[in-house]
Parts: sequence; structure tokens; C-alpha cells
Amino acid sequence: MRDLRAPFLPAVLVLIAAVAAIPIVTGNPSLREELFLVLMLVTLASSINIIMGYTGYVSFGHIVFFGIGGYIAFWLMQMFNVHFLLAAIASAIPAALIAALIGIPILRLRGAYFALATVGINEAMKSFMTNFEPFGGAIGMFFSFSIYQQYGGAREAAFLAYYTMAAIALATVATSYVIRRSKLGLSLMAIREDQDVAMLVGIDPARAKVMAYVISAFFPALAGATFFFKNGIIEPGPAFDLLRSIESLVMVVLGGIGTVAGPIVGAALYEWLRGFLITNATFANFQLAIAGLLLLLTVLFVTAGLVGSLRNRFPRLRAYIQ
Amino acid sequence: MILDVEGVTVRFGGLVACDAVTFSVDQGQILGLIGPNGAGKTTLFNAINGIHRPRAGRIEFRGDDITGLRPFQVARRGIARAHQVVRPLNDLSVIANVTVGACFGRENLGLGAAELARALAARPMLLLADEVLAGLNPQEVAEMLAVFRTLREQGVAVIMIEHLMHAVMNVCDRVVVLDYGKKIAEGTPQQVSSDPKVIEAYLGDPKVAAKFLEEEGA
Repeated sequence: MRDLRAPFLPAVLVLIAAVAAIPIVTGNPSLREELFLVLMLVTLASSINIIMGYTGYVSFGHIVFFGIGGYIAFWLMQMFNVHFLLAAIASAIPAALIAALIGIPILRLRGAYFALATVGINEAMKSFMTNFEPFGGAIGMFFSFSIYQQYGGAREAAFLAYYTMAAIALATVATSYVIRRSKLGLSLMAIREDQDVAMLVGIDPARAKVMAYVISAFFPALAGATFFFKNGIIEPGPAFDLLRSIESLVMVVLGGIGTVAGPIVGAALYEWLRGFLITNATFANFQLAIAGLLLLLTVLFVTAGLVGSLRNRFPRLRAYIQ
Repeated sequence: MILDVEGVTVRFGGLVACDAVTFSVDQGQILGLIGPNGAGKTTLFNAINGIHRPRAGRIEFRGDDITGLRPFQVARRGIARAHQVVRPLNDLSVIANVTVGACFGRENLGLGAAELARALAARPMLLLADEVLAGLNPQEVAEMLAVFRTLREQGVAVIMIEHLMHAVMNVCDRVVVLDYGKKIAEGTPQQVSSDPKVIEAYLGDPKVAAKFLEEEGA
């Protein structure tokens, strides 16, 4: 079902890469920091979309994989002086394995019960890390400044983190697209619509769901490793921040659940809005309240999100916007 | 025989939904499965599909024991199911619905290469049709029966649960009648429709009925 008229994926990847290149060309550090965050949110939202949008399983506590990736990579870098890129990959693989182990039991749950279980797992992991002394317990871990020497200094390390985050975001979006157009994607969407019928036409729901969950855990772990590498400090609170988890759900819903472009649009829009609100004297303290209101309005009136409702409104766009 | 059902018993707590049911279907045959409401027809389909695990008995498909396999494993071997209540995958297009059938059933197509359509897209060897004629107008019923006849010509075996008697009489080669989970009759549509046990299951005991009529007349 390849549509040659609409090279959607290359277009989106080029667009993301072009935007990501702006701070590299101009050397503007504050724009770089801003876009680093946007790219990270694109990664988180696109990953969640694979399990929530395609498969219909709302993973409320998805940030747990961000934290796990961050912690493992941080520990490897600090204790054994492992190179950042190696540490990032070495942290994403166990995170994906943990997703498989957790996923096998909890993906049997449906609806709100699954969502609650994911919150529980995130909170349990946070308490575990708070009490796990090898990872620094409640205080967490921090780098000595000299660790950035092997990357040529702090400034170069920050750029390395930025390139890496851009690569992760591109890989996540590409994966999200490939899944949507693949047999796995079709089986996930069949499961979302009616799991029992899916099973009767020959889909193994348990296998497909665990696969989706593992893939959707892999990229947040990479993002976590990168984020905390740049941060230099990791603590249980920011690593397993439920608020960030919920915010990425809001981005998916805002942009268009179950579409490839939705999470990207949602992440960019949400982050832009937050930047605007935080710097605005009147709204600075109501930033989250406005985010909540936005979610409420979207869910009530624009159920399909921005990209979704565009696709519904103008069916011709469907060939061009996935 | 493409499907052999031997002494299949399905129990829900104290209720015996299917009680040692035995029958078989061959390629290119249409078997009607009839019986009053609650006779265990759909439960029997669910047992063949792997949704309910039989408490006793054996189900063989093309010579392999498929008793207790999971539904998706049964589907991949070539048994398709069409539901009584239409269960479309709502958010997906008709094409996607049919593609789901084509991709994951026996055909197992790669992506490169409506209810009944989705089931048939898997190119099954056995189709379990659960009252697919219910709620259709006479024109549509005639069209569906033509589809069943075509399937028979292609060598597909069909088991159809149906309340529409003229359809059963028209298209079925043999009919199995269930009542309270037990098989009470089997034979050609003509044999079955004149069987006193079948009449009793549907209309009640003819002698008792006659007695009531006499009393009313008196």
C-alpha cells in the first residue's frame, strides 16, 4: 500500500532535521537548549503514541523508561567511564527488556486498569531508586566536571547530546511511521478496535502488544540517557516525573492520537505554548492549569486532535499526512 | 473429513452448554447448525475457535488435534469466523478490515502483495458463520446464499448457525440439531424437519400440544 505520490516520511524527517540544524549553524545556545527539549518531547510523545495511539493502551507512567535509561547510562558513565553513546545504547536494551517483563503481565489488563498499573510501576521504580544506594539513593548521582573532558569539554558535550537527541527523535519518528504502515501496525490497530475479533482473524494479541510496548520503551530510555548526560545530575524525582509523563500524553492527544505527525505537532505546539506562558507575567503561575484546560477542550471538542481532525475534515489530505 | 468434533463438552459452572456433541463436516459441504435459543450453537462455535476450552472431547481439523489451541492459532490453520452481531474494526476502513483478515489468517500475506469479507479474505478452509443472515432483507439473503454456494463449489466447508429455515433448507447439505447442549438429530434438511424430536424441541411435545388443543376445543 505504498503511496509514491506522498513521500511523507522523507518530508517529515527533512523538516525535523532542518529545524534541528538551525542552532548548529547559528551557534545559538539558548535556541539549542529549547530545541533539545522539543526533540526530546517529540521522542517521548511519538513513543507513547505507539502503545497508546496505535494499540489503544494508555501508558500513563511511560516516563519510567526515561528514568531507567537515564539511571543505567548515568551509572555506567560515572562508575566505569563508559563513553556516552555506548552507555546510552547499553541502557536502552535493559529498559526494553524490563518493558517486556512488565508488559507480559500488565498488558493483559484492559482500559483504566492498565493505565493505573503503569502509574504504579513508575511510582514503585521511583521509590526503589530513592532507596537503592548503589545509584545514590535519594540524593542521586552527579558527574564531576572532568567527565566531559573526553568529549572535548562541556560545550562540545552539550552539542554531542544535542546531535544525539536529534538522531533519536528522527529514529523514533521513522520507526513510528514504519510501524504504522507495517503488518505489526495493522495488528495493533485491529487490537485497538476489537481485541477478540483480532484474535479470531489470527492475530496473537499478547505478542503484538508486548512488541509495541518494548519498542515504545526503547526510545524514551535513549532520551533519558541523553538528557541526564547533558544534565550532569540524576535524581529519582526528575527521572520518574509523572507530570512529564502526563504532559507527553497531552501532546499526543493535542496533536492527533494514532497519527505519525500528531505527536510531533503536539510536542512542538505544547512546548511553544509553555514557553510563551512561562515568560508571560499574567500566566506564569497558571501554566499547568492552562495545559489541563487545553486537554479538556481537545478531548471534548477535537477528539481526533489537530492532525486527526484535519485528516477527517479533508479526506484528500490522508494520502499526504499520516 | 475436514472437521471432526467428537464428544465435545463445554461447561460453565453447573450449566452444560454443549453435552458430548459429535459431528463432522467434509470439504465442499454446508452444514446447518440449528436449535432453539440457548441450545449451545454459538458455544460450540466458540469451542471450535478456541475461545472456550472443551471440558471433554476432541476437535480435529484436517487430521490435526486442535482442541485447546488459542483462537489465533486456530485462525492461522484456516478456520474463519463471521459473527452474528457485525463486529467491524470501527476506526479502520473497509479495505483495512479485509486486509486484517488477509494478513493474519491462513493466507498470511505480506503487506506488499465487511464481516464476511474479512473472514473470507483469510481464504479459510472452514467458515463458521454465526447467523450472518439475521437482519438482512430477502434480496441480501439471496446474495449471501449465492456466496455460500460459490464457497461450496470452491471446496470450502461451511458450518452455518441459522434461524432462517428456508435458507437452511435451501442451501445446507446436512443439518445438525442441538437442544439443551445435546445433539438430538442429524440428517438431510428434509429428514430433520420431519423428525418428531426436532418438532418437539421447537414447538414442544406434540402429544401435549394436541392435548391442550383438545381441552381448548372441549
